[in-house]
Amino acid sequence: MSSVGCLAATGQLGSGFQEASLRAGLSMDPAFIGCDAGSCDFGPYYLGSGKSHFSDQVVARDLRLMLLAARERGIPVIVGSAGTAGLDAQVDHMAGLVDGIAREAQIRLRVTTVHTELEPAAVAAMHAGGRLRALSALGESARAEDIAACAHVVGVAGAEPLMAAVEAGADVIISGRCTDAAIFASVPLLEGAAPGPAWHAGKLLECGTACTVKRRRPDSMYARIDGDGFVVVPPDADTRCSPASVAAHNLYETASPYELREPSGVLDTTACEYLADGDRAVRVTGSAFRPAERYTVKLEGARPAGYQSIFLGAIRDPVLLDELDPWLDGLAAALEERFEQVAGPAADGGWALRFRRLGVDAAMGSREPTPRVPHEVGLVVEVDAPEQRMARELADIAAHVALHYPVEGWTGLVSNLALAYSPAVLDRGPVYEWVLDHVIDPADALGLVRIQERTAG
Amino acid sequence: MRLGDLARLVRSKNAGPFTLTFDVIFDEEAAFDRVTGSGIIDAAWVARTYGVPEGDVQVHAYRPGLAIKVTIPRELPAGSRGDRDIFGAQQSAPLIELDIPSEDA
Repeated sequence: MSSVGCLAATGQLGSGFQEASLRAGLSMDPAFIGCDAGSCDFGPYYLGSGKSHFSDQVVARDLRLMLLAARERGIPVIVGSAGTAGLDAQVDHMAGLVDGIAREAQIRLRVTTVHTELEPAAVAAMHAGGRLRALSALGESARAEDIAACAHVVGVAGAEPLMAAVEAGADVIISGRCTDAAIFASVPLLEGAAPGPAWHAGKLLECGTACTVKRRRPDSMYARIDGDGFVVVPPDADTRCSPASVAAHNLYETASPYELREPSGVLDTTACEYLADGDRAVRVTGSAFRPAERYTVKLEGARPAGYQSIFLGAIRDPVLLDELDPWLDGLAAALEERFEQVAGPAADGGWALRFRRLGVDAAMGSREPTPRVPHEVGLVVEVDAPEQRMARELADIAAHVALHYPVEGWTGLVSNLALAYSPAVLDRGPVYEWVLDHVIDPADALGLVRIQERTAG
Repeated sequence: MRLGDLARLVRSKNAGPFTLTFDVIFDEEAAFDRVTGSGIIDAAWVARTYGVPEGDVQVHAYRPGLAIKVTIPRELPAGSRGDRDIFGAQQSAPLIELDIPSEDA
């Protein structure tokens, strides 16, 4: 291997990039253009519901520019974790977007899809059969029936399915859930790059400009991997990396700055050196990859957890704020009594009531070290219920009761909440919860995925 | 002096849906050495401040990034009913306000 160039269009497909940056990156002779399209960061809703975080329009804008740029140079495009959660249907939907773009541009593209979804019932059976390994106490507490109740389960693939697709000659690879770094490690690994630099560069590239000194906007990022390391540089000439900014990226969203676990092993950056290469580039050496004894695939699952309705009111009355805690205790008791009349006891009706005090401790709850009552408090009232209709009914009751719930310091009928919206109550729709924190050891790296070829355009 | 005044960045974020991680990043090696040398951010302090078992706390001094990383389990999986902070984005205030004794004290 001489060297292999890697171009990331942006940190997340749909978050945008400057067309000029992509063009500048293209002129640096990349072997492929990659982009991450998903994350579990946004919560379990996307995996549970199958909805995407970005609209088709914004995704297609980014995708079209990537496809046409790659076409010019005859290099592949790799998109991982399609459609936010990487569900099979989201992969197929994105393949549909590729088809639309290809038709409009009057080009033909060989598209390979990698499906990574698993049947919840089958995963539950594997759990019952002792084939899953829990990664945490939470994982250990998961029951087979919780897993079977998941709306969707995905296995987080490594680089191997993407490598297989590239090797088979795909112009475009749309993958389901895969590790972020795998999107960028696959082509370098195929080209014979050392795995340490390939995975380390992949971890940097997957977040686009996150490893720059001052991230002004989501944008393209470039790395060139050579014999014993790699150089990372933003294509946009007004943006730069420094040794500190690149080293600091190992901290981002990782449990340890030295280790990044992948299905096939662990990236170890303990011995890395970060040296400036000119004003804007950084050369990284010393990245090591320790192959795992067993190939492991992490699982993600989300199960439905009922419905919610909420309302938000601002409290500004200083007399009420002076007695906020006892007032909220009294309100909770009054609401619980009224909810029981309407929907039965919480345990039978499956409802729950929750307050959040914005301005006091909404971000940190019981961990809040300084719970001061300020001059204004935002009160969020949340109602969970097994059905939306019931959540709405109870939240409507709660809004009315809270508005007029008596304040000890006043005599007479009070109105306690500045409600900004009519109707005050918002239906949040279905809510979901993460279930799995497990890995599985498939027979081989392609054992849990389905790879299909099709033509677009 | 507050840790937030010594560091160029103090932040929190999820590391996966079940884990919360904090980064304290310095501009100057001297500040990094002062805080790591003080031993003030240790597993016991984190456990006390965030109400988690000491055995579940990871503290990494990361010299290449002039940073200290602290990792703990989340109270609830991200986005579960009752969770307050889906991204784990606003959990770093106790670190920002942590008083770092002056070196000659």
